[in-house]
Amino acid sequence: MKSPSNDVNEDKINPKCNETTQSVNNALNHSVNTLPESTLSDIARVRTLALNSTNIQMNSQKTIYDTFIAWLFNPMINIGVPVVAAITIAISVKYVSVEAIPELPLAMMAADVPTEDFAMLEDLEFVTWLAKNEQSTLL
Amino acid sequence: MEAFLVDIEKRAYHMAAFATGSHADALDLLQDSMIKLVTKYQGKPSKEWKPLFYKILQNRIRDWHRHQKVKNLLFFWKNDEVDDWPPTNIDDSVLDTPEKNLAKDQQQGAALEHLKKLSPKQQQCFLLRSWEGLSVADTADIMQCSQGSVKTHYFRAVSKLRKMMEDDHEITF
Repeated sequence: MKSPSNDVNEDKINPKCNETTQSVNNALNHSVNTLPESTLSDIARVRTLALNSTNIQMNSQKTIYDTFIAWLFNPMINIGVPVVAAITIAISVKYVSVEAIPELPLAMMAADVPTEDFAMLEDLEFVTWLAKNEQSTLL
Repeated sequence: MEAFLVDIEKRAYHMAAFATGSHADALDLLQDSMIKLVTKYQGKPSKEWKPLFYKILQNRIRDWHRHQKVKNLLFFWKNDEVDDWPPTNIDDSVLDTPEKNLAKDQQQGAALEHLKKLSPKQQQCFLLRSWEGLSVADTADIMQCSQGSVKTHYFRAVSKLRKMMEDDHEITF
């Protein structure tokens, strides 16, 4: 099945050769030429607004540029930015040196450790702590 | 740019007015389109302005139709559509002899009414192709559809217009 667009012959619908289109075009041109004064003034106002919008935008861009330049050469900014940068670097370097918490041994995490073993470990730690304390009191 | 806008503004206003059926909405669409052209595309070569402007206008018209659809769905009990286009009070001062031109004037008024009865796509396609004299490729680009669709819309628009005019005035072309 052919699409409708293929049936359309460009010559057949040529605007210059078609009385219907000519008639409607004439009506449209007549309508344009006989627009009321109020409509014409409204259109002119709209055009002026559109043309002025460029100037407004250019002015606003200039203002932003000027503000940026003024900010860039502000003495407070010239002093403040290096100081803030130095403090930031110092803090970041300090925090990098902090030791990470050692991870638990995998064997402890994976295997089921009996509770007796934990009790033994706790006893062992307590005995070691006692021995250390005794040594320190003797010294 | 100003000369271009002066040259195109009345036709563009007519297109927007036919699409919206409202003087105020047409002015809004025209203003938005002009501002966008001036602020975004002023640096482009002047020969590109016309298709660019109509593309912007068509996009605005499409958005307007979408907003209207949503608005009508949400506020279905309201019927505040303003349909004041085409204007009925045509300036008679431009006519040399009103009696002589009365029939012609009525016929032209009827032609505009027929154009208004077309679907939005057929209407815009006719205005761009026939009235503005844009190519099929440019019209397709502006309407964001294929060239085949443009030909179909245009053919159907002309056929409908011819039929309506024949029905009204019993004229056989």
